[in-house]
Amino acid sequence: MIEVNNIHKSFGDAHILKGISTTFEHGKTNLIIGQSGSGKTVFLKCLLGLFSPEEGSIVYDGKIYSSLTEDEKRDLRQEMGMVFQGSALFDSMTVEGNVKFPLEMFTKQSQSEMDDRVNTILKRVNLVDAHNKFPAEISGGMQKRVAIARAIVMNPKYLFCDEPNSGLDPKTAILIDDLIKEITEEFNITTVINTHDMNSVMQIGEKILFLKDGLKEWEGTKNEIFKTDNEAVTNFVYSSDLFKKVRQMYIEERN
Amino acid sequence: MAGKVGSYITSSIGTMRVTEQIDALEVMGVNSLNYLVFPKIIAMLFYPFAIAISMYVGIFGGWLAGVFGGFLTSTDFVTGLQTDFIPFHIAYAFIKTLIFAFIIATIPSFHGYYMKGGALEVGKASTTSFVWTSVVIIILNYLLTQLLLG
Ligand SMILES: Nc1ncnc2c1ncn2[C@@H]1O[C@H](COP(=O)(O)OP(=O)(O)O)[C@@H](O)[C@H]1O
Ligand SMILES: [Mg+2]
Repeated sequence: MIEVNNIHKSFGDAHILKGISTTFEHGKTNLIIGQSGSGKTVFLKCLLGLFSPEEGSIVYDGKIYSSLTEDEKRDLRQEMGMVFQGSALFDSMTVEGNVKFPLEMFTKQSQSEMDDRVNTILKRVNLVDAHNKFPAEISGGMQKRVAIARAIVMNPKYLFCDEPNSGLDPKTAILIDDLIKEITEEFNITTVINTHDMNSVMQIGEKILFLKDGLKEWEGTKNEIFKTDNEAVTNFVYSSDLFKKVRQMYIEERN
Repeated sequence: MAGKVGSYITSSIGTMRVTEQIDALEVMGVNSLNYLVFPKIIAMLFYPFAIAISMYVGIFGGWLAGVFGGFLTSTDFVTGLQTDFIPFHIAYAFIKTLIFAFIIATIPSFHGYYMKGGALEVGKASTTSFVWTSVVIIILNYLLTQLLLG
């Protein structure tokens, strides 16, 4: 579980996060939604420890990040996996090399133990015959799978995904969303996903946090999001025609 | 070297920055600055070996052209080489290359590592890093020559 207490983050004069508090439970897919530029990535990078908030605290299963020693922070980081928006695969390494990298850096496993682990994980993300390909040689959807594989190879307690299905076709996007949800449940991970895609909200949203201009505008479940009267949320949700129709049906049903 | 090696270093590290590969390293708990820059400094410290080879090849080429072009005899060439030979010039050459190698590894790394933006900025960072590397080398070349030979 991750508890976020009133975090603020600025870059120079630009106040990006203006006091956000929430909790993310384990075994659940927690979604952060909001328009581009609303601060989703900055928020996620705060959760990852890549940015340190000027104010407020983030607590990971009882561990307050800002009061950990450097060694403890490094240990905690090794319990985190991250899927970056553009996958961020190491392009000088093969698919296998990318997934093996964290094992080589941080474990003392033998070569065959590492190979076993890499094979298991790549099979888990449904990638079986791309071991020796380079990131530039595989499709965007496959790159995402490799990124997910690399993020979970160390058995993380926390998984963060920044717009995991942006730039993918709708069908692949759904597959990636489902994969993340399955993995979250299977390994009981605390998963936090940034997205601006309403399809993902419908597909995998358990807890949803709506950010607007660096503030938590709304928080709830995917059933609640269609019933809320919060204008910013409904504007966001019903920016798509399909969801406008769903909303219309809901209102007609109610009356 | 500043053009070829330097811009390669800036663009490869810069690309890693803009595609968040450096963030990926940091998230895993890898000290990305060490991981990316240190090996390049070590590799560049082998630069004097390349210089040693180029000195050898240069002299050998001179000998080939001189002797087989019929300009002078082999003995004359060797005498010429040894006359007024100052051994310190060899040390001077190696000191300079070692320092230049360090510059060629670090300045481009700095420009790549701390760059911001996208693919376009990677190109700009390479150019800026080339200009800075060249300027620093020219200035240092002058200073080192004054210091060592003055
Ligand atoms: N490293 C940074 N330095 C300065 N400003 C930043 C930085 N990262 C993000 N920002 C600014 O923070 C705001 C929110 O960005 P971001 O979190 O990326 O939005 P999104 O919700 O689209 O992910 C933007 O205005 C962006 O310009
Ligand atoms: Mg973003």
